[in-house]
Amino acid sequence: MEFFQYDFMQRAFLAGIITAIICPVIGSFVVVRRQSLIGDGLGHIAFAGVTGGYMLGIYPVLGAFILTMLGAVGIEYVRRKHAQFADMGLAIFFYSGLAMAIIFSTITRMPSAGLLSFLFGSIITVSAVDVFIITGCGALVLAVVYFLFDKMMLMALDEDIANVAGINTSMINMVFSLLTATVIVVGMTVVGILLVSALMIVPVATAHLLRVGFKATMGWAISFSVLSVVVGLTSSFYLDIAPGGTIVMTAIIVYVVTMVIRELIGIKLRTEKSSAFAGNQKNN
Amino acid sequence: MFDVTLSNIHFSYDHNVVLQDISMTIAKGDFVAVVGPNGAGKSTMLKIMAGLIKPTQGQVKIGKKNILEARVQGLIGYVPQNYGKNVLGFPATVEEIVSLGLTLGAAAPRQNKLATKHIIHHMLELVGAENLRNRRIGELSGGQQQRVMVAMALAGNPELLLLDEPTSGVDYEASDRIYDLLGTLNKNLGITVVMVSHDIDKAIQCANKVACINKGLCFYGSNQEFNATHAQARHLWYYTG
Repeated sequence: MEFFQYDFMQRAFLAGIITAIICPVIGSFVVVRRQSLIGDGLGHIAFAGVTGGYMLGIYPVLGAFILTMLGAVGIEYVRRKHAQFADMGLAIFFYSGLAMAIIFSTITRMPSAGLLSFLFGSIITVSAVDVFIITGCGALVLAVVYFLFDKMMLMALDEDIANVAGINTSMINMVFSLLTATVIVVGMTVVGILLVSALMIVPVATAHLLRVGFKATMGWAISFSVLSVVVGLTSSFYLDIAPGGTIVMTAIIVYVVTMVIRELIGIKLRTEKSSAFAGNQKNN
Repeated sequence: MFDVTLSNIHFSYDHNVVLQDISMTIAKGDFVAVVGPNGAGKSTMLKIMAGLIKPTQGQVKIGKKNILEARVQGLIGYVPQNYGKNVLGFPATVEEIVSLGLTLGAAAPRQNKLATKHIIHHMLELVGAENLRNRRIGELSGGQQQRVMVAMALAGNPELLLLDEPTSGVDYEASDRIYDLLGTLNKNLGITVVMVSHDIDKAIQCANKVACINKGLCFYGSNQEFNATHAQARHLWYYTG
């Protein structure tokens, strides 16, 4: 484990593993709420926040945090007011974020190296302060999810039932949007704006293939996500490739391998069943 | 336990009158079948009773409490019509779904694990689905899913159970089992049941009261009275509105 000798790799692993835990925790709810593209929408708003922050001379991640939070509130507002066209509203936020990012970066002539580090992630350059902030945000996300878990799960199943049960669904939806925005900004540092949504969705999609319960799906998704970050970071170190790409590609490979194994097990079970059936027919 | 009172309920949407001047009192322990033609406003009325839709005029009271207070106290169990689209592919076991019922009502206390297991087992036993506890909800048939959703609603210990077309998309045999289950819950546990149904004959058999809705309240009374006064005309009325 040669890479652990380097401080920057230790910080990268710590930040990566925290992100790998919180992304699928929120992703598990995002998928069953059928909002898989919200990460992309918020990611592009975060990009506008980064460039806007640079333009105003404030810390770009802070700019991303503020604008993503506002975007999350806006997306949730549109979702509530125009439920039938929620995906269209999300698309408008998505395009607005991208358009603003282009305008801000052109006005300020932001260096392309800086832009690329936010677009594709810069986990290797994560500072001790960044790790501290990521840990704090991660702890906050996990604590809120722990306390609201049952209510969030019930709302994902059916919001009307939750409403009738006296649950304040508006408040919880808003909290959930803000948590998603927090995870996007945290994940942006690790895998970049373009791929943060993948870390929220792909491990959850892999866990869905196992056909287990909700909590077990979340547990497996976290395991797949941590595995992807560890393997992705390690391979990026040795192959000298941007880690955002290797992390997400690892997650996708895990998905494909899991799917193939599941199919093979299915074929084997079906063959065994038909052999047993044929054997019984013969005996009769 | 309490009576449910609907007073002068009106509901309009985009200048279309959906419900007008509905007033009725549902006594505690009643089993009311809400019937009527398509588009008559049955589901809207149920949603108003559940507090999901605010009536344009009038009010619903549960005992002396308004509907919002009753909701907060977890007095109402609700099984909607279209939960199926969410359930399909939802990665949760039957046990997890029923355990969600324990969180219903803002004041619902968190149970310890053993008590939770016991309650879930009891609820699944009540609806005849104890053998399904480890199956995923999306893998069950429509009738089985419906029973699980009823078990979830019951786990919240409601005094009023509202069901919107509980036998919609369910085969004949499963539909009979659901009606039998609701009748048993009503008789044995004393839960007030209000059920919207398109199956007028079955609904009338298991309910003790019938409410016929066609924008306004056409009839509200006992099922015997309904059979005596509307038996000949009801099918014609039902299909022609």
